[in-house]
Amino acid sequence: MRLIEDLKKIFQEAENKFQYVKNDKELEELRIKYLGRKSYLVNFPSLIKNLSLEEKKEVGKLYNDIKKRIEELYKQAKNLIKEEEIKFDFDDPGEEIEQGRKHLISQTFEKVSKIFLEIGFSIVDFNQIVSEKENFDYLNIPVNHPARDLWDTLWVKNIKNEERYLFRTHTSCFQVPIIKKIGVPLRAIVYGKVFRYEATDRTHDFEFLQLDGISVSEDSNLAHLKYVTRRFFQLFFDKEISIRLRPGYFPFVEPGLEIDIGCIFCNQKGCQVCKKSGFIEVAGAGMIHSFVLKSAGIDFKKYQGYAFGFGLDRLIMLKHGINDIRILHSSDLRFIKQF
Amino acid sequence: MKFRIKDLKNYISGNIDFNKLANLLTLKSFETVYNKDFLEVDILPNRYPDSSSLVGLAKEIGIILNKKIKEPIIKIKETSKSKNYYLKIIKETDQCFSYFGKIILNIKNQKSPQWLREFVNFYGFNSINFLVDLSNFVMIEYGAPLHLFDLDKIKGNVYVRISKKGEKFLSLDDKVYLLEGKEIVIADDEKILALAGIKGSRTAEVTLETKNILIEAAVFDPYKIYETSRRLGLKTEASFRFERKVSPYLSLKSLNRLCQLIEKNMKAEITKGIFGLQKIENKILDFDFKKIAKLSGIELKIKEFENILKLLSIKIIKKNKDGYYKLKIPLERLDIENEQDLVEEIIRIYGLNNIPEIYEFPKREITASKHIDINFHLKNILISMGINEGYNYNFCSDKDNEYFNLPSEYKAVEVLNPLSENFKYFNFTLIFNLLKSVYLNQFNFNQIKLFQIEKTGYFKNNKVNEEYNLAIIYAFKDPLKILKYLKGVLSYLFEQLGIEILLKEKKNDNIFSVSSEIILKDNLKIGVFGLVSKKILQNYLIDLNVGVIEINLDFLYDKIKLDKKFVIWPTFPTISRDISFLLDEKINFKEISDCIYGLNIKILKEIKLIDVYFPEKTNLKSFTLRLIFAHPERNLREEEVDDLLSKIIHSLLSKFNIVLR
Repeated sequence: MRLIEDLKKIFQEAENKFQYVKNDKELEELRIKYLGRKSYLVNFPSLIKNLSLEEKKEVGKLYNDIKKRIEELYKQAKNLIKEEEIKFDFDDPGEEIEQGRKHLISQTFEKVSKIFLEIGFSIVDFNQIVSEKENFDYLNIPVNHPARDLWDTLWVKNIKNEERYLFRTHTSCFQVPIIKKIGVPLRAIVYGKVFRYEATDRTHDFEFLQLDGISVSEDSNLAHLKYVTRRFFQLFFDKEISIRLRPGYFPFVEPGLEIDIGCIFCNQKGCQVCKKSGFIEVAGAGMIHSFVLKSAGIDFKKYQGYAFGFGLDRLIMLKHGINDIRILHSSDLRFIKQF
Repeated sequence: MKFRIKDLKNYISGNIDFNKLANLLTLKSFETVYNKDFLEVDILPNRYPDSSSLVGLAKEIGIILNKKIKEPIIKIKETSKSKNYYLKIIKETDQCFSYFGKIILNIKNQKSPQWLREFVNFYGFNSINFLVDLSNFVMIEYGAPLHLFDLDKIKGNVYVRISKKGEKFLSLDDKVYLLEGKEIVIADDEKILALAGIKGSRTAEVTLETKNILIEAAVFDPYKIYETSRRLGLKTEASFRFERKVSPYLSLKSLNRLCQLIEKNMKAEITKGIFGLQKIENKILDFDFKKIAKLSGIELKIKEFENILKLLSIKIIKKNKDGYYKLKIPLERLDIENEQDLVEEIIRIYGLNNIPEIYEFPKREITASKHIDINFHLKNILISMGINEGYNYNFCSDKDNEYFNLPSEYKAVEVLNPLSENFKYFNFTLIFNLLKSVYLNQFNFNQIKLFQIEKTGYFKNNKVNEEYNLAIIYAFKDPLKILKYLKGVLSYLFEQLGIEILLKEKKNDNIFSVSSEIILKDNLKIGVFGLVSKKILQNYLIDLNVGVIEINLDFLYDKIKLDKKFVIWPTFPTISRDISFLLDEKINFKEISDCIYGLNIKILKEIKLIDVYFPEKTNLKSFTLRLIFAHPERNLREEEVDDLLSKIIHSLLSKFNIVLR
C-alpha cells in the first residue's frame, strides 16, 4: 500500500536527517518538517478516513509506531546537540537602560518619612499658603517682630479686606493647626517648601526646605527629644552620631535649644566643613512654649511637648557633597540622573 | 559681639583659660569663639538686654566659672543745684517706656585719651571727643545706649513726642530726613534734637566747646525703633540695641556711671536729681521644683538646684517642703518671665548635655498622610516608565498668567511683594515650570521626559485653595511620536491606578495646538493632554516640540485603588484576529467598539486598537483592530472564529461604510 510505503520512507529520511543535526536551528527546522502542525505525519489521520476498518488498523498501528519513533529521534537529537559557542566580549557596554529618576529631594522626603514612621511620628501634609496667625501669632512671634515685614516675608496680595495670608516662612506654622485638628496626645512631622523674601546665592534660596516635628502629651520632654533627634540623624546619615545641645532662642519654645551633631566628615577631629569645631549645627528645638499650647486650646498645666525643626537642604547638601543650593533646586537632568 | 580679653579682665579676677571658657560659654550660654585678643560671642536675642555688655558678659562668665566678678562701684557727688532750674522734660508718648535724664555743668571737654580712643575703635565707633566717647564706653560696659545734648543749644524744654508729618530731621552726618508723623523724636521748643533711639541731630550736638550737657538714658518701644530705622535706612549701634530691648534698670545704672566717669575725668558739676525717676521692681515668680525633671528629664537634687539659683543671683523668697518656691528675679533679666524660662536657666547652667536620652512610646496610632503616600506611589509608576522627576519654584510670571486663562470663578494668588517679575503668582499650573525645565535641558539632551507633582493654588470664593497637580512633559522632534508616547503614558498610568478615563477633544486652546480634556466616567474633567503650540514654545525659547499632560490629583485621591484583585487567566488558549480598514476620520474608536460589542458575541473578550494612521489627501483614516476570542470551557475552532469575524466585518461594513484593506 502506498501509505505504508510513504510512512516508511518518511521514517528512513527522518532517521537519516536527525543523525546529522548540528544546532538548535536545524533541529527546529526538522521538528517543523516532521512533527509540525502542517507536517505530513500530523495530518496523516485525515488520509486514512476512507480506508476499511482492517486497513485502518494496520496503517494506524504503523503510523503510531513511526510517529513515536520520530518523536524519540527528535528527543535524542535534542539531547545530543552541543552547547553552541557564543562569542561575547564582557567589555561590551551592554544596552543603554533608560530609567526615570526621582529627584533627590523626593528621595530624601521618602527617606525622612520612613525614618519618622519608624521612630513613631505621623506624617502630615500642610498648606504652603497660610494665615498670619498660623505663621506668627500662634507661635508667640510678637506683632512687632521684624520677620513679619515686607523685607523678610512673601505676602499674598489680599483680594478682600480679610486676615492677611502669606507664603509660610517656616514649617513650624503647622503646630497649632495640627494640634487643633488632631488633638493630644500627638506626635507628627511636616516637611516641605518654605519661602522668604531673600536674595539667592550658593547657600540661600528664596524657596527652601524645612522639617518640623512636635510631640505633645502629659510628659513628653527633652530627654525624649534628645532620643528622637539623635536617632533621626543616625538613620539619615547611616552612621553613629553624637549630638550636642546648646542654649538657643526661638519665641515658640522654652527652654530653647540648638542641636549640633558631631561632624560626620572628620569624626570630630576638626575639618573645613565643621570649621575646626568638630560639630555641625543642624537643628533648633525645645519645649513648646505655653503660649503656643494656649493658642491651640490645650491645657498647658496638664500637657507639655517638644518641638524640633531643621533645614533639609543643608542636610542633603552635606550628605551628597552638593555645594550650590540652586543646583539642588533645579530640573537639570545632568543633576537628576546622578541620583 | 566681640569683647576684648583685656577689657573683660577688668571685671573678672584670677587666671582664666579662655579656650576652655569659650567652649563652656558655647555649651551653657552663647556660641563663642576665642580669637587670641578677643572673644566673639553670639548673644541670643532674648539675652541682649542683660548680656550684650562687658559687665553682663562678665556676670555670665562668673556664673559658669563660679567666680565673683568686679562690678564698678558707682557713687556720684551731686552739687546742690537742682536740675529743674535748667529745663523740664515732658514725655508725651507711651512708646517711650522710660526717660531718665541728668544735667552736668562746667565740663572741660577735650580729645579722648589714647586708651579710650582705642577702646571705642575696637567696639566699632569713631572717636569724637571725650564726652561722646565716654558715653559709648558706658554703653559697651553696661549695654544701655545713652545720648548727650549740649544743654546750651536746647531752646526751652525737652519733649519726647511723636513727629509731625512733614517735619524734617537733620542728622549728625548732615543728612536731612523727612518724617512721616510716626517716629519718636526728642525735641525742644523749636527743633528736633534727636531721632529717638537712633541718631542725634546737629541742633544740640556735643562738641569740644560744649560745657554743659543733658544726658538721656531712655528706653523706647523696640518695634518703633525697628520700624523707623528700617524706613529711613538708618542703622546705628543704639537702634540695634533698642530693637532687642533695653533694661530700664541698666539704663539708669548707665546714667549714673557716665556721670561718675565725667566727674572723675573732667571735674564737672553734677546737678541734683534725676529726670523721670521711677521705681523699678523685681519680678517675683512661682516655681515648682518638680518642673525641672518634668520638662527636661534631669533629676536634680534640691541642693544642686538652690546652688544654681544662687549662681544666677535669683533669690529664694519663700519655699515649702513640697518644692514650691517664690523667686525674686534680677532686675536686668528681662527674659525670665515664667516657670519654663526658669527651667531653661537651671538646666543650661547644670549642663544641657546631662539631659538623658529616653525612648518615648507613641501614645496614639501613627499614620502617614494619604496624599503624600499616593504621591510617592505615582512617582514610582512614572519613573518606571523612564520619566524623570523635575523640581521648580512654585511661582510664575504675568506672561504665564495671561496664557493660561484661569476659569473665571478662580483667581490667581498674587504675591504682594514679589522678588521678581518671574515669581509674581503662586503656580496654578505646573505646565510653565516644566516648559522652563525643557528650556534648561534642551542644550544637553535631544529628548526630555519630565514630570512634577507639586502644590498649586488659586482663590475660589475668596478663599485660597491648594491642590496637588501632576504634570508630565515630553519634548522631542516628532510631534506625532510625542502624542503617541504620552497617550501610552496616560493609559498605563490610569490602568495602574485602576481608574477609567476618556479623552474629549478640545478646540481653540490658548496653549495647545491639539489637545483633549481628560474626563472620568462621571464626566468630571480632571486634566488636559495636548501638544504645546508653536507660539508658546517660541515664547519660552524652546526648539523641540513639546507635549504635556496635566492632572489635578485632588480629584483622584479617593478613587485610586492601590490594592489590586487577582484575575485568573483563560484556561483554554485564546485566538486573535487582526482586521485593518479605512473609515471616515470623524468616527471614533468608541463608536466602532460599541458596534462590535453590540453584536453580543460571548466569546469575544477584547477589542484593541493597535494602529491608527491618516492616509494623505483624504478625509479617511485607517484602523487596525485586534479581536481576542476565548471560550471558558473548551478549545476554540479556527472556523467558528472565522465565522464570527465575518459577522463583525459585515456589521461594520453596513454601519460605517468601511473599506477593508
